[in-house]
Amino acid sequence: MPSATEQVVEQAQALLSSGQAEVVLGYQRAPGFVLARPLFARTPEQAERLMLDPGCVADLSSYALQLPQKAAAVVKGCDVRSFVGLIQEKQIKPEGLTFIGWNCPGVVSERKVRQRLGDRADTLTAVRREGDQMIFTLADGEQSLPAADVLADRCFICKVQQPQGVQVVVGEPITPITSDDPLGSELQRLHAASPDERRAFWAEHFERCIRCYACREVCPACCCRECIIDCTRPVWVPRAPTEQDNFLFQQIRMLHVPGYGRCTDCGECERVCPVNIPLRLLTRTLHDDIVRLYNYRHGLDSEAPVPMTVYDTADSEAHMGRPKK
Amino acid sequence: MAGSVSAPEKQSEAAQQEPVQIVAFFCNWCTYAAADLAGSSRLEQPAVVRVVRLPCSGRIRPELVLAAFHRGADGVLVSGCHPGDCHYAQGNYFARRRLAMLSDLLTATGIDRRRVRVEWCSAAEALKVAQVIREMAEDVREWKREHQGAQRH
Amino acid sequence: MKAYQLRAEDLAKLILRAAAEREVWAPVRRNDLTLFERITDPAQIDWEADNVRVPLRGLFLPVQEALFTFRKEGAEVTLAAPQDEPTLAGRLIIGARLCDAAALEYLDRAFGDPLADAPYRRRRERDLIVAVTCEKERPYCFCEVASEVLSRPRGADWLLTRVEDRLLVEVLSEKGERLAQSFSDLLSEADSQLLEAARAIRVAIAGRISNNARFSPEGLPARLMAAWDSPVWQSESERCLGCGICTFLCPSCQCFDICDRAGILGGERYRCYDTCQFASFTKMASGENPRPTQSERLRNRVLHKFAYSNERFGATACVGCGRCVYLCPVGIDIREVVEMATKEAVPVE
Repeated sequence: MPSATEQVVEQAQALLSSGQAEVVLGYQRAPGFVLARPLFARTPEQAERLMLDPGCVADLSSYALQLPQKAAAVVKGCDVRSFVGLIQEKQIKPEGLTFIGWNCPGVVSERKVRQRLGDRADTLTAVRREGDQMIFTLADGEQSLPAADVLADRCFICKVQQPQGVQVVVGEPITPITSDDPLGSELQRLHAASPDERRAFWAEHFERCIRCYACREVCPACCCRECIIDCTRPVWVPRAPTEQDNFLFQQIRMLHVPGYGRCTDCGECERVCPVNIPLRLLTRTLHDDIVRLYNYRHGLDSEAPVPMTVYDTADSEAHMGRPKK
Repeated sequence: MAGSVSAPEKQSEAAQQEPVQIVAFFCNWCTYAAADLAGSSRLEQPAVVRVVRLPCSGRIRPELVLAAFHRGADGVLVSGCHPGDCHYAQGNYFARRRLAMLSDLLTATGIDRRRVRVEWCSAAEALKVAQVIREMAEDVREWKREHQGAQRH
Repeated sequence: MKAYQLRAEDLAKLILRAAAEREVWAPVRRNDLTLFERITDPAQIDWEADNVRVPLRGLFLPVQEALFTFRKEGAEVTLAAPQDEPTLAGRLIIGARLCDAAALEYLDRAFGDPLADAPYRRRRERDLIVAVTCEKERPYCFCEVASEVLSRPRGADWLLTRVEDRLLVEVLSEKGERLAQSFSDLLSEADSQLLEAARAIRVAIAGRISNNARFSPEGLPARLMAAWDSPVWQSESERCLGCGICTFLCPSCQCFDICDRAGILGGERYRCYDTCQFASFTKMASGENPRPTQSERLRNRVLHKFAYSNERFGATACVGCGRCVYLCPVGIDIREVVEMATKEAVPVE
């Protein structure tokens, strides 16, 4: 049985040789810190470097708007949702786009891996899942860790291990590792807290924000040609990373993406933040409100309208009127 | 003529109240007209509101509300036509969704609910406008008193 | 310059005494992250972390600062300096690494005469920096190869190296010597054995680090200039997200933007970090952009660090701290980029 890596290489080479794709966007092994890097393979030789394993964390739909009409992308079930979200919004066309879907065994959290493996994580060359163990190949041998200790938080609540709406599938389906949502208790705690406590919580985190905009650049939904944050006439948000201005920046981004129902909870924003701001606590809060209020999940149906572009005459008015004591 | 002229005692009492600044986004056809009617009817209301007139509640970018708070507004009031009665047919339906999510965002990021209020006020509802403004001034003052000096926006 | 020794157990005493008369800043761990923070108790210091996330330069050229405020009253406009930083005595910054300190020495040149940057210089003149020698290198460290950081310690006032239960205190500046005098009861002259042992540690690390660089620093400026048209810039920047992580967290980056935050009656002029990695960095009012794609922008960053800086200030800007390498979300490694770009390029005589 060929491995997922062997299958993805074979599929990619076939697509490139036949001309069905001018570029195959996938993952290659990286010698170190991110466990896998994006690869734009344009020839069968370049496609040799493609691989798939639980280190393939990134959501490659960040590059969706850069792809030519005839392209292929290697996607996990969560990633294809981000692509489909862009199709829903007519930012990309589905014609000519081939998805190579991967039956994902769950991907790791790079931060958790570093915490568990320490220095040795720097020598990682491969990672695979066997049952409920994640096996890391390091310079000094293999190290097995319980998968539940190193899985990315969102994998525990994943409903799309077998990607939907893809033309090609690689990898064997494998029983997902599920558990209660790791964010659950923290989300509840924030929900139950007073407004002042919430404000103070976010102030402590947004104080550290340096406005590198990695969260915005990586987000598949953030694709505006001119972002409101960069607008100088008028200046909506001052550039300086003071807590007050950072708060406004984050509020606007949170409004535009999860607030408007355009977030698929890919978690990339939190992963790339260099100062460890727990952004998913905000994205999830709003993402879950969209599910609750409008029964909508982004990126599952390429024909579905995005929630802010439609309405129901019976929409919730819970936010209206005098706030109850 | 409806309403009452405020007595001198009430006026000085009002003057001693903590100043608060409420930015109001009103749609031109309904709420703004109602506010106008409230004014010409001499309905009593605290002078705490600065009105921004927009053609429709659907024109309200939630970022305007966020910007108002960022620049120091104590409270923000938004009001438009009742659903089904929008001058532009659908604007307020879109506004309702957008403002629902704005409201959730504000709550999630710790902006006290007393500081933001969304209403529907038709052109005839001058009394409602005045009442909403009175209530909001009360609510925002209460919030402000609790946060003497320690206010972050 | 002189060298002293301090018993390791006396370091806490020294810090407490310093904290009584000035602000002391040191690496503190919070939210799985180590950053420079003001401390009052030596127990707060995180000695385990490799390096602070936001580099030492953030204390001298902060992510944002107010330059002045302005207020309009009638026809009059009043300018006011921002509230001065609290310390009369300079800050004592302890726990800096030599890479970050060397970057500061580079920035001293960039912010020096004839375009002296007053806020930066004020802090540099006033504050004291106690650097510490790393106990081990990481795979992304290439400080020695980039800028001879270990063999030419610079940019700080003291350098501490731990040898068993003693600390070697190498004084690197006049200010450092005055500081040493103020702790003369805790310091004694270093013996040659301690000096030898400390230097051996640095030499050993430097030796191992030379394996980490992947490129040779020999004639690098010329070799990089010769690689101007290399296809590597395009291929390596294709996955670049165009965020500011590499530059904002670089210890030697210096670019800033100046903006106003103002209302009708007044406001403030501030400066904040800017980055050549943003598309709008070189965009002009006409819409013209001389660095239109990420390819030109990546080339600019690499050449600035390894070529232009040498030409303008006589020093390599990159100090090999490795932050851009391990923080890049898409794994763009500046060492690899330099290696690939210069592999085939032959400098034109």
